[in-house]
Amino acid sequence: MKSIFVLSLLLLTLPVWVPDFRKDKMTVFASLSYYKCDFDADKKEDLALWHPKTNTLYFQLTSDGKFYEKKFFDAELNYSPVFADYDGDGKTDFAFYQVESGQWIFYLSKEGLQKTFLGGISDIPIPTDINGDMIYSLSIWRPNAGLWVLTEKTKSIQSDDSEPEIIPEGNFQDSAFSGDYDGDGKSDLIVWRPDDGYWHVVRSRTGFDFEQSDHIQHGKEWDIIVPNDYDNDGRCDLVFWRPSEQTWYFLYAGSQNQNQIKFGEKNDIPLSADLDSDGSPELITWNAVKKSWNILNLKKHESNSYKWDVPEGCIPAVSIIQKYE
Amino acid sequence: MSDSSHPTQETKTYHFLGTRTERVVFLILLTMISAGPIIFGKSIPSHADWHIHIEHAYNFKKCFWQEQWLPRWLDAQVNGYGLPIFNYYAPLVYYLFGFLELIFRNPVLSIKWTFVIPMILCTIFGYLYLRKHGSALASAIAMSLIIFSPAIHIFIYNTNWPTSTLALAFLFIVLYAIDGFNRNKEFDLKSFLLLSIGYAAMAITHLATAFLFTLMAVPYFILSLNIYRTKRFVKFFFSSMLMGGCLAGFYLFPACLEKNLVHTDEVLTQAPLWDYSKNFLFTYLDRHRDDGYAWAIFDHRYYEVSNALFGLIVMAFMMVLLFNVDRIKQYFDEPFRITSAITMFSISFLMMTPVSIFVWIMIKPMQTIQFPWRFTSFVLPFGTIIVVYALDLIGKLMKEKVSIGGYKFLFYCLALVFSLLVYVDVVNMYRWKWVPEQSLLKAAIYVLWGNEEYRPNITGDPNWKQINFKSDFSPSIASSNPAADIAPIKWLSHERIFQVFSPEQHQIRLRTFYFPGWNVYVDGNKVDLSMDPKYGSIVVQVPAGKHKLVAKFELTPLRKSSAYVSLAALLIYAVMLLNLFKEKNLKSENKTKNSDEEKESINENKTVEAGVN
Repeated sequence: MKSIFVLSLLLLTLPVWVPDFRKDKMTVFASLSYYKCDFDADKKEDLALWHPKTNTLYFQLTSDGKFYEKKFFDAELNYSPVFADYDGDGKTDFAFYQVESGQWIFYLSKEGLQKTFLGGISDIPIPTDINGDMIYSLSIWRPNAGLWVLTEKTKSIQSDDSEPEIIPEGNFQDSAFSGDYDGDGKSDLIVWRPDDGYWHVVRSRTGFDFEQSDHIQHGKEWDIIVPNDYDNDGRCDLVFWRPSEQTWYFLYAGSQNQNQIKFGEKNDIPLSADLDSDGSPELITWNAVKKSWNILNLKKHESNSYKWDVPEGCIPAVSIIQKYE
Repeated sequence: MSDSSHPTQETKTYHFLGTRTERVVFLILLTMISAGPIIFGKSIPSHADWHIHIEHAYNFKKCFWQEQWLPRWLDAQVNGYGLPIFNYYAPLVYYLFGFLELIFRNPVLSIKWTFVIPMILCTIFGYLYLRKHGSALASAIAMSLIIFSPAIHIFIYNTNWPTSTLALAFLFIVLYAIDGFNRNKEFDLKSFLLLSIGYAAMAITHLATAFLFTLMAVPYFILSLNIYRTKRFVKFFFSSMLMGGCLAGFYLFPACLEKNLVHTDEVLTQAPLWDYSKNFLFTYLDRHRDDGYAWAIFDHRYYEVSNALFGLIVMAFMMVLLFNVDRIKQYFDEPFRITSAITMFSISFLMMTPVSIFVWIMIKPMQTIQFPWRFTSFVLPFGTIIVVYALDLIGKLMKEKVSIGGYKFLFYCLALVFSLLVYVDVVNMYRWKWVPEQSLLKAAIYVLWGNEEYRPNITGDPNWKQINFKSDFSPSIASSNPAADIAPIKWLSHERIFQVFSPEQHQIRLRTFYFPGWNVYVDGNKVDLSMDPKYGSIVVQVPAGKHKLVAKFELTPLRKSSAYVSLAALLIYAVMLLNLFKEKNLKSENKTKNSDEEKESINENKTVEAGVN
């Protein structure tokens, strides 16, 4: 009896010593690969993994084929990668968002380290290009208020004192992202609501007027959105991956055609990236258990799988991942 | 003497719920039927504030594992300004959720079982309580009424969080302890330990139920005193209530004594009367399905109908008792218990109806419990023991061979009413949309409750409600010197560490409400805090140069001393519990000794007899 009591007590206190037991299984809501991940500016995107426990980035450059391991922060803080080109040099900048304090840290190719605060707990960082200059700016979407905060921080993060633009859109259930849905070169603000499967598109060309927004039904609960420009027409397509069927469902923004492709395994994290600079991104899944990338090249009709020797718990950094854990 | 060559043939007639196994299966089955939609369904029913409680549960768990063992401060609330919610809000259900998360590691499943476990506990403790008052058969039948009662079924499926249901389970323990008091003992340790732990658990589960119980304890104490008529009962009652209060003191004392630091009273008791009075029972409110998320919590149509049906059943059984007062005296050892139950049921029932409005207006502190329908929790135990007594009385009358045709007819009619009650429960369950599972997860991480009730009132700003924190995008930490460099080093719900550098003296503003307990240390030295007069956030002066700034939410002297009181009470409780077990062991040892001695003496007698023969 005593030993059972001691054993139960030990089991109950296990999470105190093993922090991994305190966490739930990770659930991914959105995997945003639209903002590219090309660190060496060779027009080919680079695969990258982020290890949140150690704040370390593992990536392979397509230009030299070498693997890199880079620890960005020593502090015991949670950072999320928000990679995009923030200075317009064609290279994807290493940018991180500290999820509690809302601090953004950029390693810009030209200006070096830059820091600023925008957002806070539960705000979702999303890069936007609202003036169409191909330079991404910092933005956040606040789920519990259904508000976007758009800034025009372009050249120097610190010096920009302009008032941010606040756009109402969405609800806490939504997954949000910015993408050029109508092909005008500027980011439109898009949310997808899993309750009813509707994508709500607030366009830049309407001055982000919600009254003039598009509402498109495509998808259902538990789908993971993976929007990108899959047909290379300059418009962001509404795409999701259904884990239960391991199927990609496409709704092309230009033609409004639909397509489905079965690819991936049940517990994968989906993403997309143009790895061969042919203009259309490949379908990619990351399997955290097998530690392998699975890549489907739509144009060449070929699929490949690569194993990476990385620590447990790595998540794709090619994408900005919205998740629960 | 019976003739062994012609054994008597016992004809075993079947009695419904005649065996213990059958009763256990019956109760499990009913509980499964009642809780089945949550266990086997996809998610939980949605109503008014479901998303708030999911968010609370998630953040509570998060803060707990950040080693804020009683997570008084949730940093995510009010969009990062934080709130001292669990300095006031009872935490036990949230601990239960955290515990279930350890097992399931799945928030949806954990939330579902957080609803189901209180239902199961209500069945177990409810049955024990009823069994104290009546036969096994009557208790089992009356249990069906408890399981499908408005206080449990409607609360579970039509409110947003099972706090009151879990508190109800503890209420059963408390009443069991009072009703089971042994007046022949100098000090009834068992009842003392049960009452104190039940009261403590009730307080840390649902403060409103504990508060109501404290009020209802006054008439119940007087009625019980009439039964026990001994000073021992007075001593037992007050000492166990005090012990219960001390056990829950770590939470209870700050929750009660620090109420002046937040807007609770202002929000709860200064609402217009109509807002308050619409929450009486039998106040007709035709609520449209789309308005279902109103703060009135219940869809009154189902709630009122189920209460009416429940009340009808109890009242019919009450009539049976009232028409047989002479038989009650004949068959029951303590007939006053029936009077006591009827009185308590009537008080509780009337307190839910507009008849009691003047009581509510006169006793202002009562209004902090917000809703008169909370008395449903008290209607339930007292109502069902009336049913138990009546069923037992009918059983006795049957043995008298009195014609009970009328009672049979009444029983079938009430069975029909009970079916209607179950029907209303079922309709109510599916009246509202159930929460989509993914929304449940997103509510956990994205809904940052900005509730006004627990917002610190320290700024003294009369227009505090007008600030919209949802659209406040001020940084989590900001310096008055734009050139200052700020680097977060650590961020926990109750502790943040930053490294700050500024060439000149500067002022740091933290996006955190000032609330007693927050202290800031610059290079290890505690500094004076000031407050942003508009938002009430923490402001601190920092000298020029590079400094380490630590902001910590610590225990105030009251919270610390309350924790010590609870710890001391827990130690005393543990010692008393050990004594009880020792006492029991001793008794059972004595029993075995006595029975061994008896056996030995019988054997000796037999040997003697055999020797004689």
